[in-house]
Amino acid sequence: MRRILIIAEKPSAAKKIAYALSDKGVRIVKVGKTPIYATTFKGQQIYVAYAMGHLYNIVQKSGGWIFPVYNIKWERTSPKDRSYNERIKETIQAIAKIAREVDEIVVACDYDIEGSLIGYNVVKYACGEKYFKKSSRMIFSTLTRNELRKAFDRRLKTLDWPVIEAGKMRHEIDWIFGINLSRALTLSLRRVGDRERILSIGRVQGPTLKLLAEREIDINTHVPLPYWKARAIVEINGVKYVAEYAGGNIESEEKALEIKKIRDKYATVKKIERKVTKERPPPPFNLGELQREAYRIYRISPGKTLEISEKLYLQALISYPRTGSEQIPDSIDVKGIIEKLGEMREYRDLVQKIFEHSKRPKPVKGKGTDPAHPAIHPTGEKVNIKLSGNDRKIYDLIVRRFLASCYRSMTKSETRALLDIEGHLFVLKGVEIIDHGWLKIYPFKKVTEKPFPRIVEGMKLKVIRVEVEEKYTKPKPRYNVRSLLKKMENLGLGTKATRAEIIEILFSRRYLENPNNIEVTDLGMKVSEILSKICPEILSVELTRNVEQIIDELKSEYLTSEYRKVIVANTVLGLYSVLSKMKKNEMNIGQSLVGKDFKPHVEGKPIGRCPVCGNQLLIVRSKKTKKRFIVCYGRTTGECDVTQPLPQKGRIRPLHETCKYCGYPLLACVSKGKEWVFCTNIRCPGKRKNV
Amino acid sequence: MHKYKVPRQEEKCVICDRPRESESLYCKYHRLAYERLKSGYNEWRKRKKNITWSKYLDVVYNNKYTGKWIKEVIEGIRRGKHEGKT
Repeated sequence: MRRILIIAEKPSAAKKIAYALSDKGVRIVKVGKTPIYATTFKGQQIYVAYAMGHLYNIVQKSGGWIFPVYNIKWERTSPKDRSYNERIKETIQAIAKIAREVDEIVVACDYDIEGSLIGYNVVKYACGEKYFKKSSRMIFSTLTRNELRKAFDRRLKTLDWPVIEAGKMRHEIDWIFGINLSRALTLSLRRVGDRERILSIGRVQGPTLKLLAEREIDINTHVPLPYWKARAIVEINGVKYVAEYAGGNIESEEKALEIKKIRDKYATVKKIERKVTKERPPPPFNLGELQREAYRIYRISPGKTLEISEKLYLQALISYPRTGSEQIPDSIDVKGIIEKLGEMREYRDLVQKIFEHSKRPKPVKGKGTDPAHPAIHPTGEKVNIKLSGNDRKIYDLIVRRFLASCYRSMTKSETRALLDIEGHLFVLKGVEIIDHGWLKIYPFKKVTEKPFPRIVEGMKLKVIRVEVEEKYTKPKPRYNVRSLLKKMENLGLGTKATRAEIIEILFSRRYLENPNNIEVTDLGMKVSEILSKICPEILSVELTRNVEQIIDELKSEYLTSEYRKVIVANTVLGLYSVLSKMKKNEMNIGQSLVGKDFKPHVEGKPIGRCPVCGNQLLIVRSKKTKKRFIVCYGRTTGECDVTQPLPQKGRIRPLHETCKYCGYPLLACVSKGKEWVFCTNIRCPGKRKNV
Repeated sequence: MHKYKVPRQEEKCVICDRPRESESLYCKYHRLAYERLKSGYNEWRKRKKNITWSKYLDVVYNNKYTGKWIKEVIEGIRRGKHEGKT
């Protein structure tokens, strides 16, 4: 009997795969403490094991907490949580043990850069490189029984090497950029004595922060300009209507006053135009659009939306959410999915409407494409467990959007009448929805209806009054999480999977505050300002967009490991000069970051003034060696660099006197019943004499 | 060890603690605010013919859409700390 080991990305996915591929039920076999699903499928013995996300990650080969760091290696993830660390160790051991006994290893992690890399690392480091020859790849977009069986039967005969190499490249570039720039910033802080805070910046974080800082500058330097809005209130059959000034905003006070002086009691209808427009239904969601809509409608953060949609995917309720596609390919059985949704009570009526509209419903296609996965859509699987509040909202949003995309357009009529009052033109507008179409299924878009009166050209209307209001230009609005996501997507910053996480990191570093109306903090402004001065290239959108483009191109063609290393080296080459500049300006950067009034706290016993800078000299102990020595407080701010050694034995007592030869404080040391006085300056000219 | 040059009092922006821009009393941000305030006055005069500089400052200062740094610059001007005073 042929034996096959399948590696899934998460425990829940492993369980789904095992049950989908089982002919006669599933057993749980314990290898050490790790549970492995065992089953048989078409006469083959199947073992399904799982990784727990990334079991291997990049670490520094050698050296301490320094920069620049370019020497990297992949190593087993070792989280601080001891029991989690043990679980990872045991999982790897279990996979390695089973791998030795099987004929084939199938990587069944999510089909994207991260999933392919997780699977590759498990095969390479847990099983060994010799297993590459007998490794294959399962590709699927939903965890439904049918699709998993199909994916298993049609699996690739090798691992998906282009995606793996592209994944390694992204991790390596991001790690090198992130670790070096973050350490450079944090060490600048340490240099001026701030040992509390950790700062970070990276390839995507930098341009995003700059984007927000520029908006902050625009808002803070906004000078409002005056303009005027005019409107005429007319009465038709006893009902009041508002007609706006046809020229839009008035930018001159003279003109505004002229309109204000209108005394005519009647308006003449000069022209009436009616336009019927159809609005196509929106396409099914990609991740970005789902995150934006969830935030707009329910104020659910993008990170939370991603978390929920991944949970729904693992429950086989929706397709793979990390997709950029807004299209459903013809190979997906749309009709079957809608029929299954119709079995759920809450969607029965909506499904009925869809089938009344078309016997063979077809979702509209959006612009977004993704070669790996279709747009997010429900699988039609029955919801067996009770979904919690937000989970239910996201699921409902996905289902309604998918169904709406199969329904007919919304039709509305817009009517516009041009009114003449003393030679000034005003516009009376009306909007009427003729057919709600997809709005009945996806009612989250607001279309305001405005009644239009029954009037004809040449008719005279009674003018009640003409109003002119002075207004002021507003600053550009602050970004919120939703609009920031959209902007990042337009600029090509980050990927659909990482954008939400990047925004959260910027908040956690205290560069930003107030997610509904994002404000850049003082610290965020300083970081952006310093980096713009020293290394503007790090904050440029171009750099990160180019890297993303290279990664996307490489995913689709085969790339050797050597070629990848060349690209990584070329990309991080520019970093070298940036880091040298940061190293050179460490003190200035640190000082700018902490602010001038910052006074670092130093634990130590004062013994007198430093003759070089006038700051306090302190007796302190080295954290590393635990030895005592003298240091000038001015060292923390860079004003002074005085340090002096001290005898390590005996009790030291300050005498509150200074040395007559060099001005350093004198100390007394008591040891073994003897006391002697000494100058704290090791190079004191009076050392050879008896002080 | 690199020595950090502590900015002297007269090298600081007259409004905040940031270093001054060259040939200016203001830091980068307040200088930009001052420039926008000046160019804003030209635009205001096109729209409202008879507005004076001090009336303009009053209206802009009391407007809810005015930027924070613009307001700080106006406060500075009222206290006599502004570019024209150098």
